[in-house]
Amino acid sequence: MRVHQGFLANRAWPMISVLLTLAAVAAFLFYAPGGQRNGSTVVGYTLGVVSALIVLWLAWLGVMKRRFASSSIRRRNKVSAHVWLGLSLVMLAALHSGFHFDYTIHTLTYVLLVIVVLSGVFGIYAYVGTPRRMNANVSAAIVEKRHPDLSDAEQLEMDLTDIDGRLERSLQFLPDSFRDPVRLSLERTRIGGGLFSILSGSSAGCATRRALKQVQKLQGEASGGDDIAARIDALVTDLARKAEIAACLRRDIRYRAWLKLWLWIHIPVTVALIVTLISHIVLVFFYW
Amino acid sequence: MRLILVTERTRAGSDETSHRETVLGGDEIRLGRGSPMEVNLPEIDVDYHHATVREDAGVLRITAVGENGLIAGKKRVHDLALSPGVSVRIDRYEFSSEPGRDGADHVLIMKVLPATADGRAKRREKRTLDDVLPSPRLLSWGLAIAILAVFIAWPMSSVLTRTAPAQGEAVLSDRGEDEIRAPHPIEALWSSGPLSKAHAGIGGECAACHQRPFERTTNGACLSCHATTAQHFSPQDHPHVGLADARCSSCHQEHEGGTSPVVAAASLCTDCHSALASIAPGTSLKPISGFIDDHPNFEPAIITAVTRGPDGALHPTLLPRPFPKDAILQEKSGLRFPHDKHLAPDGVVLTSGKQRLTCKDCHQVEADGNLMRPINMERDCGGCHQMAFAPAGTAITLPHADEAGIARIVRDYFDERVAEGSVTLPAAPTNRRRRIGGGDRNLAGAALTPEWASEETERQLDAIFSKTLCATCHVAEKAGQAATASGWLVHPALLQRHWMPRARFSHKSHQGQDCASCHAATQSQAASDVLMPQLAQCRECHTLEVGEEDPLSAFLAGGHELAGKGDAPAIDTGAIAGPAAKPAPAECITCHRFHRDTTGPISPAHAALFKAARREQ
Repeated sequence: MRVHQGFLANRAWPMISVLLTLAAVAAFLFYAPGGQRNGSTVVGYTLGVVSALIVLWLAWLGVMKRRFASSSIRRRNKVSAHVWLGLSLVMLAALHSGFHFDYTIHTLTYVLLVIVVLSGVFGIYAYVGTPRRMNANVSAAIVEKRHPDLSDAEQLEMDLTDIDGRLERSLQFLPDSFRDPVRLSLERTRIGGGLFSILSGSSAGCATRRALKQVQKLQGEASGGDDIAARIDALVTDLARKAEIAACLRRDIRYRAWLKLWLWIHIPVTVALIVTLISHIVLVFFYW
Repeated sequence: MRLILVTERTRAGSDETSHRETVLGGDEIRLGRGSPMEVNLPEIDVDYHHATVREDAGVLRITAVGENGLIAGKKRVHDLALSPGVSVRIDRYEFSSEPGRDGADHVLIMKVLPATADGRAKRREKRTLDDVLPSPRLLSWGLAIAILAVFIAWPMSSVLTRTAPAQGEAVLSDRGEDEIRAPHPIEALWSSGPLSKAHAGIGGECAACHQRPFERTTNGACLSCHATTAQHFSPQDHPHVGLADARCSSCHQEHEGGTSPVVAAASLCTDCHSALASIAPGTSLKPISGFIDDHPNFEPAIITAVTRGPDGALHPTLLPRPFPKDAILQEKSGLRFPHDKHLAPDGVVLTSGKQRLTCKDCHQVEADGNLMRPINMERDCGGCHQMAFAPAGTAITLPHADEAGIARIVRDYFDERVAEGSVTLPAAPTNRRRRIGGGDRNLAGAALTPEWASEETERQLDAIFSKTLCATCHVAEKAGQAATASGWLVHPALLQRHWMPRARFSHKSHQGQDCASCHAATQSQAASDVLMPQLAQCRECHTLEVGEEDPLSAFLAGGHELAGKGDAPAIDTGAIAGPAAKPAPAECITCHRFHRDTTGPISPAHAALFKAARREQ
């Protein structure tokens, strides 16, 4: 959180990026030898070289900022450079091409660049809001923290284990009709699983929630003493709490997944971009 | 019944077994999940009251309560006597019996088997993207390799397997003139931009131009098709201009779309021609930096005299260029012609009445649309100016440009009259403007002798040549010893067909314009007027330089277009400017050719190959 406020607070790199982009736009507009605006003019060539160097430097920064050697202030500046120069690349590279796009490896290079930048933008968006929502989500579900060192999510996991134990034990005092709902909750409550369930974080088909409904139905039909009634009440409470925790944990893993999902696009496409960029440069001189 | 319950518990992963003995009493011992049961089996798959153990005929008998039953070996049973050696299982609890001891009737042994890691065991679901997605590193490798394979390796495989002609070898392309080669689908992925329309036929045959990797497109590749393309100037005459290293493609850049890779920008020429003296000292050419700024005044090829050669052909004498300072810009073509009379607003007088003439009635554009068709007297003038010799009701047409023929026809006519011995009184004139002689003469009563015929012929010819027919348009003189039979010699007329032979001009592309907007014919009283427009008149429309086609940069550059118009002086020819025309290009090659046919081919070797190939066909 502090890091991201930090990079947004940096004023140097946004200025540099905006000035660089404005200079490029001006050069593009004013310099058109023979009415031509493309990568083969002096301006086009310069824009191409500058863009390629920025791509490589930003990729290198991306690698470096994952190492811990650098101080946080320097890292903050690097993140700022990475973000702002990265955004300006979309314009610089388009100007380099003279806005000529077709079905070739050259256009592919630009498309990959745009994908990298857009995924980065999504990453910023995720980093700006998600951690706060993520913390609010789990901390709201905490009832009592057993140990200060435990994270909220860990505490909730422990609560779930406790509830499962209580559910299993409660069956010793309840008739067989309660076994199926309890078994449903114990065996079918899934948190996570596949890519889709991780990303959706949906609790729509939650087994515990279904179990709770079944138990509430049985509760109306149940006969027996106060003891049984108290047991069923406890079961209902446990199931409700379990459903709440499960939903909270599902949201938690969804937040965590969305926080990182962009990297699965950003990193591989960056590598593909660098490969394509080198190919683009070599090919231009292979056939020139 | 007293019963000792021995609980044997083996922990998973351990050989140690714990024993615990409990004494139970009662007729029935209930087994089940429920807490009130005497033997509590806290497993979810065990029923609340799963089974009951009773004593039956000295042995323990176990009877299932619910439907789930008991498992004996591999069978499911509901009721079983636990004789020694028999064991039965409920979930993970295995029961057997032993004879009673220590005052108990029976010993019931309950082995608690270790919990199996089945579905019941708590399963840890996949909760992070790392669990469900391939690692970014793996994806990176995969994507990079896929791109290299599709975009580099595949096309490269076709590039590396073909052969190219040796460096500097003159080879003609095997592509037919209008043949369109299908684009290579994979190599097209490398194209840096669309080919121009002119080269679209090459399609995706990259090797047609890009013969060897990492080599700029060679002239040989261009010349393999453009074998006969001419030089800009002859290198022999311009030793100070190095053309040895000039590459076609440094000017003709492809892969930028458009109609053709011809450079239209004036800078192609003016880069050198704006300061030509520094490149070619002693040049007679004036420096020029653009049509709009400092194009020299037109110096058209003006005919100052026409002579007839011994072969009868006409030879013009031209005003020397550059024009002498005191030169009078008058064309002496030998023709008398007042444009103003022909274009009189109220028309020309014909027998049929007055008729307005337009330029097109006499002047037509040639089929190629460029120059005007040469004037042909019979076709273009003869409609009105008939060469009619009609002395007395006859209508004999005399030949144009044949003095001897005219003389013969006239003489023959009067000789025939003498032979006939009579002459008919002349009929009333059919065309006031076309009659012969000064007036109708009554020949009746005259003696029809050969002397009379000679005299009359002479008189009529004098009239035809000096007053009526020929003299309308030509100057004729009677020479004593004239070469012609008539004794008259008509001065030949030769109209200039191409005032600016080094420039290309297309009348067709100017057809939207009124003729008079360039040619001030309505005011011209004499054929000696050079009715060519002034440079300033061209500049009225020809204002567009490359780069200004881009409205943005034209705006930013301050608009050469306006400056060009401001420079042009007002035209005093009056009433000629047509509707405001669209801006037209003002580049050098708008009017001038770059590769001029008179300078010889760029590559004599290719031209020779091309000619040889033509001969073979």
